[in-house]
Amino acid sequence: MIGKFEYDSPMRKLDVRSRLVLLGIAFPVSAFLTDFKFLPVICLLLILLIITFKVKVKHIARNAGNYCIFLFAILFLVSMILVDEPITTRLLTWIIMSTRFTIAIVSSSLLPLVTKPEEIAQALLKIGLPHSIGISVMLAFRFFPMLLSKSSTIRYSLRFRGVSLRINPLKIRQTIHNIFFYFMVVFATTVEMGTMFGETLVGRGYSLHRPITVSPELRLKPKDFVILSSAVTLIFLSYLSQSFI
Amino acid sequence: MNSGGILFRDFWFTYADSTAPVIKGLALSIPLNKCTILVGPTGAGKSTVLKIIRGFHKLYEGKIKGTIRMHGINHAQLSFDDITSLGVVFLHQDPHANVHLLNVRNEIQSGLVYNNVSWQQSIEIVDQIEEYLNISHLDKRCTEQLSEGELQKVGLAASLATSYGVQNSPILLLDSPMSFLDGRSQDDLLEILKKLKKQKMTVLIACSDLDQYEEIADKAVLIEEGRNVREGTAKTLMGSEEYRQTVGTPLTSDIRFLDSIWIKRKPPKNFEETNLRGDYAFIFQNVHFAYDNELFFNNISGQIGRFGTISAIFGHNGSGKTTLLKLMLGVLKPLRGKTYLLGKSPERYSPSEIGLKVAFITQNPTEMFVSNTVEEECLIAPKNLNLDNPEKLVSQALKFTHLDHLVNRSVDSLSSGERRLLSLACTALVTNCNLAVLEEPDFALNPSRWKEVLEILVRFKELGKTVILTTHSMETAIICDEILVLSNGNIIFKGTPSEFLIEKNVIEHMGIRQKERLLKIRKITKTDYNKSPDKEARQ
Repeated sequence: MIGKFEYDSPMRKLDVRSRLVLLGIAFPVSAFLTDFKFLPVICLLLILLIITFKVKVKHIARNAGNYCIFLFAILFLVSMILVDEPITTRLLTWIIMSTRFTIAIVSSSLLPLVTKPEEIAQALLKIGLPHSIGISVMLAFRFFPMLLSKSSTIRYSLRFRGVSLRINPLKIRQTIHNIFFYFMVVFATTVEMGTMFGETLVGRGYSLHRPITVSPELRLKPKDFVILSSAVTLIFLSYLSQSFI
Repeated sequence: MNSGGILFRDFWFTYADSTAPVIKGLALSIPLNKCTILVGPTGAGKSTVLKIIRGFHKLYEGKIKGTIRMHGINHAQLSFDDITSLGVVFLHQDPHANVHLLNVRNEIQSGLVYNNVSWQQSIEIVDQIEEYLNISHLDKRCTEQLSEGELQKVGLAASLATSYGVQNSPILLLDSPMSFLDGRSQDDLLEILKKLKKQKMTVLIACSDLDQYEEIADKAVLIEEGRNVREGTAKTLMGSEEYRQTVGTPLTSDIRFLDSIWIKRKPPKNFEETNLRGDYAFIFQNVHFAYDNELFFNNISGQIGRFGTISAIFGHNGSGKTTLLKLMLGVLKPLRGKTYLLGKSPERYSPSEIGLKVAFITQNPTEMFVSNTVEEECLIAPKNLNLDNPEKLVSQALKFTHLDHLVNRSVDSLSSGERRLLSLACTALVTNCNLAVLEEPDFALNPSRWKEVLEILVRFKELGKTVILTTHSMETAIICDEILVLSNGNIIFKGTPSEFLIEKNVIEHMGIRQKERLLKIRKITKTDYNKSPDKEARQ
């Protein structure tokens, strides 16, 4: 799914840094807009983000759905147990908290959907961060999906040997053995894959101690400045909204 | 500076985590501007030689004895970066490992970016390389959507770009570059290698079967147990007794072996099991399946794995073999349609029930092993499935695969052939299941090792068991009793090897060299066809 929608999204026309900021505003905005009155504003922002990023809701749901459902359940329990208010207020608290978290989760899942990891690396480099950070982010985006696929193959091959990784109280010793060795194999695979990626990287001449070429294609255009100033204004307004309440 | 090429003199190398040397007194000369092939069984030390030339051993440590001279300079005095600046580039066997970015253009440009080559110059080099390798059409593609053949080309392009950025005469080190590729991709890569040879580029290839590289090899070296056994031209080496003993002859030219396999082909046995749908282990009806909303299988139906036979799912990279296999095993679920594994929907099996009936062996058997010794590995399934007398079952399984003398050996110390046999022993044989499903079982095995595995599979079949395997190798497909051919998610053929060899639809999907080998097999099979059960069935 990573980088999948980059060519049909209007976000491609923006500099990667603007994309980072645009998605980044979801965090302060959702932190400041705590009152139920602002629920339409948060929903509007969420819809606006999804529309401008032109990613289908089902793709976002596939990417972030599981986290959201898990979080909704936790927040529901927290609101019902810890909030000492009438039931309607508890429900409203649950709704506003869930919406605020949803916008943060959706924003963080939107960026990798519309931006290649190598672009994020170049953007971080342009911001002034050391290239090792950008390269690590870039490799992680490629490495983890491959690792997940390998882990799933290992798990399935074990399943066909009757090896269950679920806790069985009647076979505690066997279960511990199975889980321990499963993680050992996954760890060995991780090391092996990491070594191969590392060899490819250094084999191409990457060195922590040498500068790398920065892309001149990353240049802030007028529309990027509009986005950046709008983002700052929105954060400021949401901050002001607290004193307004 | 450019005289001498690469010279190994009585070279020994031991990895830091091992006591036994992997390279033992290697004396080897690799000429410049030529194509040299290192051939030998897996574990002979070929990849290590390549990695040492690239200088990777300088990053991991390890004991070295003897000398290597590169362009007349002592290799030990060169730093890793010095070797990079000499234009020495290394390509992994697994095409996925050679590609670490998601955009093809960025991947090819990456080496130039890391070497701080100016942006404009790097763009020019990337354009030239893409044009040279005929991959300009891939420029904007996402690397995750490429086939293994395309990935290998992108990896090669990135390596060439890197070395052109730092040096004009690259030294290419390729570790079994064709082992993951299907017939057509192998043809494409061979064409590229021919082009590089014409350009007088220095190319060093490690492989387990010289047959594929005969046309481009200027020099071939047979390596066994870390030392060079024999060298010469590809033709003389392939004709030598040493080569036949260590690597083996290709299946397609071993008439005696093919005969022995085909004679054992017989009609399926009647199974005692009841309630099975039809005579096939896997039946799929009106199956639809999509990846990321792109329909991959559009209403396909069929069956594979007639009981008591070995069946192959054949197709090129990305044709849908693995997807069909995963649907069969219930790892993936169809969007629409039904699948039946041994008469039941795969998701209706409990873990213990499926473990007793079906064995699944992954492409890389190492991914399956979770214990230290061979015996412990084999005991896993019987213990987890609560089988009686597990020790006896293990001993029988190891005897069947001729691994009984390795019972206390560490799994890590086994050769690739032994690992493949162990993967069969610790799954299908130890549980005595009815169906064994193998993903690319011929992967990374030289002909002699593959023949050993094949003989065990035939003996397994003779017990009345069923084997289903996936392969992109035509040679592997034709030794099976039944073949199902996939192309871009469609079934284009299903039948016996005799029908397969004359089916136009299938032949069109093969590479040029695969077609040549097919013609060769046709000649051999003329005699076999007369005595094959297919013929009996027709009569």
